[in-house]
Amino acid sequence: MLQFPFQDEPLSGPPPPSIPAGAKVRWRPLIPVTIIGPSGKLRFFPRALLDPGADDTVFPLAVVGMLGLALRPDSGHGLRWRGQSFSLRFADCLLELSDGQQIWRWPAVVGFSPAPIRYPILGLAGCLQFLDARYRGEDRIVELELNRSYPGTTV
Amino acid sequence: MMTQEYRENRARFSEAELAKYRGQWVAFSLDGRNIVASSADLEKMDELVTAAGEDPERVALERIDGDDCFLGGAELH
Repeated sequence: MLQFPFQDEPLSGPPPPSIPAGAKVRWRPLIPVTIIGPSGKLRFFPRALLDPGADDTVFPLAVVGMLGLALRPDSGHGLRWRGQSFSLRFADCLLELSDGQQIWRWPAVVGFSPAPIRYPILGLAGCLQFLDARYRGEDRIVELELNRSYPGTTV
Repeated sequence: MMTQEYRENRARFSEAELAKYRGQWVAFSLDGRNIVASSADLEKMDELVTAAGEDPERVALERIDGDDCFLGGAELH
């Protein structure tokens, strides 16, 4: 099992009524992820949103060039981000999660978009489809376990 | 891999300090102590990190934003 504590983001204004008065931060299930290209090039994102409400796993389009990824033919898919339309292209890569003791690495078809999303999104396709996730809200921890469909390696 | 050292040092950056980078990508050193480079354009980050004498594979990439409410994948349609 991998455990990741939620990560905080500072509030820029007064807290909304949905969180305690006096709160200075938001706690989010943000986890560190490494994305790896075919030649072994990698980039590390310490805050990716682990989101079972997201259909796909999505990274910034710029990562394609950084890692030398080969985009799959344009499937015509796109996304709307805060009212604006953006392209969504897909490529094959490796994703890696680690808590410092274990390393999980698996092949995934990941979406890439020029949309200015704040965090890479680890959604169902490419990520959570292979994992069983338990969000422990009170403890602000997310626990991950591999499921039978996991296609990768563990070290 | 994100170390405890990274988490602790990264948390020391104040909101006011990070506000200077709002809307930009920031490359933090892997120990979380320093900002190596920043750019609104992630495509330029490798060049900037390299110019700063660091390895683009040895930094942590974060986008700094000021949204107090983030709905995640629900904002993607």
